[in-house]
Amino acid sequence: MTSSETVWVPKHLVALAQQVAAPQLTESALERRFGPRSTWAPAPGQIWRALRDDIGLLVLLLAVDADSVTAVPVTVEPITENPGSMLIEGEVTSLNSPVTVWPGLCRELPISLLDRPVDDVGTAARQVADRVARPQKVSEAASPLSADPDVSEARAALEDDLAAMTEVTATEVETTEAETAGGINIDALAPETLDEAATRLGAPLPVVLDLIDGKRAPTPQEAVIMREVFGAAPTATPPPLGLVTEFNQPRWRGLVRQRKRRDELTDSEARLALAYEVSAMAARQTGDQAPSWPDRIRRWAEAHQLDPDAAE
Amino acid sequence: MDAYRELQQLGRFDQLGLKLLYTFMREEVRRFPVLEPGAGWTEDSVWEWVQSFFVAKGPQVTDAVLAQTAGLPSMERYLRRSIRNFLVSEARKTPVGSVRRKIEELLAATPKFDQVPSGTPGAGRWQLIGVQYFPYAGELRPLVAAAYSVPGVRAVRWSGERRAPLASDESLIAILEAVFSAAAGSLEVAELTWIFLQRFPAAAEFADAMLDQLAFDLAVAPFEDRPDVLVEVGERAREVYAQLSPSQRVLLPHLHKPVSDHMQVLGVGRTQAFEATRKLKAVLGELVPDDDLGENVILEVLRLCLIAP
Repeated sequence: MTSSETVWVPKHLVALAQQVAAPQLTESALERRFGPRSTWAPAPGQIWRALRDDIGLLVLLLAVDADSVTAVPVTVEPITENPGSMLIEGEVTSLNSPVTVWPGLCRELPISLLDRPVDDVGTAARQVADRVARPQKVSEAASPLSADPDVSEARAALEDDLAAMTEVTATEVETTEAETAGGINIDALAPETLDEAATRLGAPLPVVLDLIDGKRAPTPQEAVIMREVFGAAPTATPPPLGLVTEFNQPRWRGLVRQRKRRDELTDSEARLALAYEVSAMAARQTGDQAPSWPDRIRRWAEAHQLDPDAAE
Repeated sequence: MDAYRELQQLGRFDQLGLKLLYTFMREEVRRFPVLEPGAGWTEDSVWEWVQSFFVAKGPQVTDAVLAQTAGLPSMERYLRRSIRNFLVSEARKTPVGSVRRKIEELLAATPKFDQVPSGTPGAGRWQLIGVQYFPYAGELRPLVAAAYSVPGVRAVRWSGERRAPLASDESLIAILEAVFSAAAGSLEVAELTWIFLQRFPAAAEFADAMLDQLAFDLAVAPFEDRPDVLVEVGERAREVYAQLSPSQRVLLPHLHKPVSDHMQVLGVGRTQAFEATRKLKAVLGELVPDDDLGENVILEVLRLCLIAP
């Protein structure tokens, strides 16, 4: 067989693909429908894409809190209704086909997993919430093998995806803990050690000196490098909780992705790094009013010529 | 430009997306020997499966990739899983022709069954003789449960090139009776065929596609070709072994171990591993004789699975 690069795509397949096009679901179409990213606010009844690494899931939001959502998974695969799932017909959604929602797999998810809104099913969500509140009993089949294998396998795969999405990784545990204190004696440092630190931190020497003096709080990644080079790192004051929580909102996901790509970080590392930087800038600003974190983030992004709504 | 950007720009699959489907299909179909054409896999035969997949799943897959995935890695993950699910489903219904012929033969030859006469509702369907049923219009799944409820039926699955063993004619007639009674209505042969294919599934499991290549090759190799099989094994154990899917043969020796071992052996997540072990236990319950020989048969099957793989 020839390699896939040189393979000839049959014309009738291209024609078939044209017949089932879904232009209403492209990023630009969704942007027109839901507005720019920085205005997105999760609300009950919306279907969102939840994303972690390469795992993407659709979820229907039933309730929204500051830092989490109550949601049920949605699959674009009409499955015969059963005690754990129910169908939402095509006319209620903007998709080409009916979708299956899984009230039996209702979960509380961190809001930071939400990536973008893709649909709004409005009041149909109430029926789903009713099913979550009053789950149907599973009738006993004559044999475990007589259960529909497509349903049980689809459900098992969804459960595994949900578990993988909400699993707290070792890195996340580490980055959410406050940095440990450790003094650095600048007089004892050799010039080449300072040069190494500057190279690895990707920062000029004055910034490195500020970090050592404690004039500038290190991000967790900077603290790791400093510990490796100097054997110690100064204490980093954790950013305010309100700011960290604000960065969990999907409206800032564009900024998080840009930072994630630039520094090769995980989502949570990128969020925390951004929170440290905005926090450092906020600390230098004065004013009587309590800070509005969204405004602070916007100002910080402007100062760094970053656009939270930039296309990716 | 990659397949994901192409899809986002056009709102549909085009050259790059369809080539990606072809690449994945070419890799995945090899895990399903039961689907392999007589002349082996060719570019054309792989494209035919891409077309079958797209005809069956095109609208959903287009919607889902656009709505659910956020880049090439998540698109690839979604497509690979969809293709595997589709192929498992297709492999399970491969013997549809032979099962349909067998049902038609039994319905025609057994005086207990009768075809609904013309001029009455459901003409041409089949029903129990001597009753005036309306056509059955309910869910078919409860009728599968009725088919399973008939006791004493053995030899329930097949795999690869083996012809469908089904069960004895007496057992099959008893199952047809149970299904008609549960339906309390007349049924079409196509509906009966679907029910029988659920009751006597081919040995194809989702985890088959997740095995690493070495374990898979060992599990599907023709039994007599294995030089390491030097001992004679019981005929019944051979029958059971032949009816296990590749992943079930790999899993069986690890059945007593913790679920983390099952996850590792099968290359799947926790819930899918639970699902695979649940089904393997249920299948063994169906296949292994419930008599004095049962324990010996299961030991022989276990030994076969240990020998290769």
